[in-house]
Amino acid sequence: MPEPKTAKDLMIPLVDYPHIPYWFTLRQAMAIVREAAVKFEGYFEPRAVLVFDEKYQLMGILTLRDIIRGLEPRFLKGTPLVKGDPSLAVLLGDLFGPNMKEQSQRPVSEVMSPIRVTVNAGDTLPKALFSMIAENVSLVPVMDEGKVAGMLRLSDLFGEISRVVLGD
Amino acid sequence: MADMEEKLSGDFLFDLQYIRAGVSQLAAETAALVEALNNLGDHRHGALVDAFRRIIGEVEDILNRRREIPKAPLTISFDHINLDMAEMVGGKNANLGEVRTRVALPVPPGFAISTYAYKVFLDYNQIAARIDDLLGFWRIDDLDGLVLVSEELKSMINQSQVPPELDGAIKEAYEELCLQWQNRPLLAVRSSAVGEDLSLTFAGQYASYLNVPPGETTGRYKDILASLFTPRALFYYKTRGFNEEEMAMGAAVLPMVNARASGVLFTRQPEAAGRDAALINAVWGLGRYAVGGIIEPDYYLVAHDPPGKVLEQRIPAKEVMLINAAGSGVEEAPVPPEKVRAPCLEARHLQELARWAVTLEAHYQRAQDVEWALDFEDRLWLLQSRQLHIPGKGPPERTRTLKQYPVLLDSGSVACRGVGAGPVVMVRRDEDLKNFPQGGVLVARHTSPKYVTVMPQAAAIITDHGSPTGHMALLAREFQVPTILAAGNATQILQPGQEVTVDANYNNVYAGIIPELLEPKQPMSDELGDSPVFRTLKEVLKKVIPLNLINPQSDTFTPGHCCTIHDLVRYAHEYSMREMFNLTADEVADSAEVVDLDSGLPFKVRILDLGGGIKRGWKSKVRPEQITSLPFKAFWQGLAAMRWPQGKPEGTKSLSSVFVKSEEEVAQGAEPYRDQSYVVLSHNYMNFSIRLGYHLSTVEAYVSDQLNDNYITFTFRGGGSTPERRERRARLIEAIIDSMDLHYERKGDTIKARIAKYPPEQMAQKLILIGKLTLYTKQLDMVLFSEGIADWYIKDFLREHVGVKP
Repeated sequence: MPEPKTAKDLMIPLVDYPHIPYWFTLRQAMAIVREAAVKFEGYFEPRAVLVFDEKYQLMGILTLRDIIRGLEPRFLKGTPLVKGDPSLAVLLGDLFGPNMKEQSQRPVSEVMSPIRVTVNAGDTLPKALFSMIAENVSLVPVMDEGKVAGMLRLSDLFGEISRVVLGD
Repeated sequence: MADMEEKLSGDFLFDLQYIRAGVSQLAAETAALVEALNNLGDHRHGALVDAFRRIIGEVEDILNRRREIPKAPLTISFDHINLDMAEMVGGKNANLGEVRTRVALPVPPGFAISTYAYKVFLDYNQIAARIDDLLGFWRIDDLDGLVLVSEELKSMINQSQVPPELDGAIKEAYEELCLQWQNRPLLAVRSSAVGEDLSLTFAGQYASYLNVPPGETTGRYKDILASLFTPRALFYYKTRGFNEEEMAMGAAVLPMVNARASGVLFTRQPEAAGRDAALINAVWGLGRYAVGGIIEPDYYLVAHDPPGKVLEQRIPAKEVMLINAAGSGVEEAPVPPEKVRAPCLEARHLQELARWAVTLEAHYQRAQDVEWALDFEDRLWLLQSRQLHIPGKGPPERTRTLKQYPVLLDSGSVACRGVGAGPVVMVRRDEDLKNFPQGGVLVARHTSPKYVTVMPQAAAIITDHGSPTGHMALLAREFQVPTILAAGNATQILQPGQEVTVDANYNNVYAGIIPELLEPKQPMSDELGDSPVFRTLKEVLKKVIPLNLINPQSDTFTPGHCCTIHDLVRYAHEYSMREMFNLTADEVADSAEVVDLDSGLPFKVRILDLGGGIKRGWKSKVRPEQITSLPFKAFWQGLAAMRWPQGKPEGTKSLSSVFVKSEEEVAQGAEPYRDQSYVVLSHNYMNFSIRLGYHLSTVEAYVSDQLNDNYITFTFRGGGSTPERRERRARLIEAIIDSMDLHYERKGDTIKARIAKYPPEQMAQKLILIGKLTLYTKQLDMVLFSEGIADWYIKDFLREHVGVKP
């Protein structure tokens, strides 16, 4: 029986992710996301930019969703009216207008998702999976000897599970 | 320091002089730093001066480690020489003595003129110091200077006198030789430099004279000494990094064998070293034509066992030969018609040479490269034996010829395996070598050891004639330049400038560049890594680069614990800052010259005003508006216009990551995290040491109405991210300052830029931009995930701040 796989076996090293300092603007972050999509041939697989402070400590994760919500804060609130008919979203603001340019100057730290949970390098996959589902996150930092060494994605865990369930 | 480290990677040509110059520059700069610190600190740092002297002393010991020329008799008979005496008699003599006394193969009786005799010669004429000066004068990349220095050195030797005691010793040794040879022969007088024919080949670099009348021996000896200083010999010595003082020259004096045929024996093939077969080349007459690439010699491949069994042979037409001239010297003569196509050697000669090969290999435990001669009494003589250079690896498995590409040439002899590609450069005259481009493919009719001067930059070599046992072939192997010889009519088929790919594994030359053939170049490590210059650089760097003093709060942060120049600089830097800024709080209150900047930005700056940089009336803090220093105002305008870190969310936890620099990484040279900046000001001057986390930049500027005095220098290094990302940031800075017309150079992730002599308004404009750039690049390395992102950030800065339209 082989050693059971651990979080470390499935994680993606930090260096393979795009990074951004927390005080950079959304606009600067967008350039990174767009280029990263090019680098991964249109399929932006890490699907997140890691946010660091000046000492290179991990502060949060910035997703496409975070960026778009940052550009149009009213999307966050929504209204019963718009929820009833999403096409009324045009009423909410000028997502493609001058206001958006202004919003793009906001710092990343205002819209990023802070780290809510971490897993340890030696954690088994079920343990890691439990933490992610419990916290409702799809990406967690993997801690090795007190430092973030990489990121574990729900999609990779899913890959492992599906191999077992589908029997191949 | 960065530059020296880069050299250590092995991709650069450099010499000891380079290391010396680097060390003296570092020493001078460090000395100035130490002295400045002492002046600032009322000579409280005497211990640092001691530490400086100690470390520089250690470095100089490494640099000056050299072989002394051992004291020895002026001449020594081959009967008393063996391989252990190489330093005393030079490599060729040592091998001849070894073969005669310990291997007992037929070496003619002869004698060595010792290296000590060379020292006696220099001392007698009092020219050693002048030679050192001249050799120190030129740099390896200065080919014109090389020629001048060489001329001067050679004429210095020629004008010198052979000391009478040496003249006497040579005459005496000749008389003894005559007793053994049983007549009064003319002589071969050949170079035997220290190092020659030993682990490094100096094939054909030094002079040798044949058929010399005994009375002219001392004159030819002087010529041999002078050949130490031919341009190509100097070049070869420098690239292999010997101390110039180590260029001690001996000479071998042998009776001239009256050769019916001569040639070369390789105890095994360099290109098929696993096979027990010896390669023999032979020409009529004297052997120089067998190695000089003038005519194509007979070629025999014979088995070690049974000895001399012919495995392959090729007997080309040999129209001319070199013979002893009547009286003295050598001359070319036509080969009698019946011998032109006849083989030079018979079966019994091949058998004896094969037996030599086995005996020599058994003795030396290495393949040997032997020169032999066959006299008219049918005796074979061994005239030289030296280690044969065999390339490490066999040919890669690949089909012989790639049919899908146009093949231009497909015959010849491989002298050095490998593949190289580049534009064809025809070399017809020596002058053609002068401007030989990096990566060119050298194409010539004949081989010549002179090509050594361009081997470091040649991608490949092709010649119409020549043999793999020749001198140039040995050099090509030494420099690992893919080389095909005897390719027939390469000089007619190939056109200058045409791009070709030379596959010297299979004798093929293709049109165009064929990437699939181009293997990653083998590192030169086994060659250069072994050479003295490389070892010296490594040892010197041990005394320069490592950082042991890391934490200023530690008990070991003292001059006594400084082990390297980096430590000294680190210590001096820390304490000079402390001295300059009188770090204790009560002193700040007393001396009103040091103040903190109160800018409202997250930027800790301590200011030292040299006078006239700040408006009167300030207290221990100043606002940026109160600063009157011209360069500072401009620079600050740029800094303040940019986005600064803000909005760090309250209560967000930060997790240490693998990128946070540990103490060990800092010890190995990583920048520690720092956020205290310092600036020294006057009305016209600013020196700003900016510490923004892991990167640091320094901007120094002088701005006045005297436009000739105006300058800005900008240095930038460090970064917290991976080397590739830091490199991309360096590229970004390079691209941006290039658009600002600054002169700059980049070494690794360090950039230095300079601009001078612009009017004050324009200097201010540049400073504003440099201020913007300084902040723009803060932590930017983190972001530069790919080249594409780096390009976007370059464009964005140019568009937003320099006003370049996309």
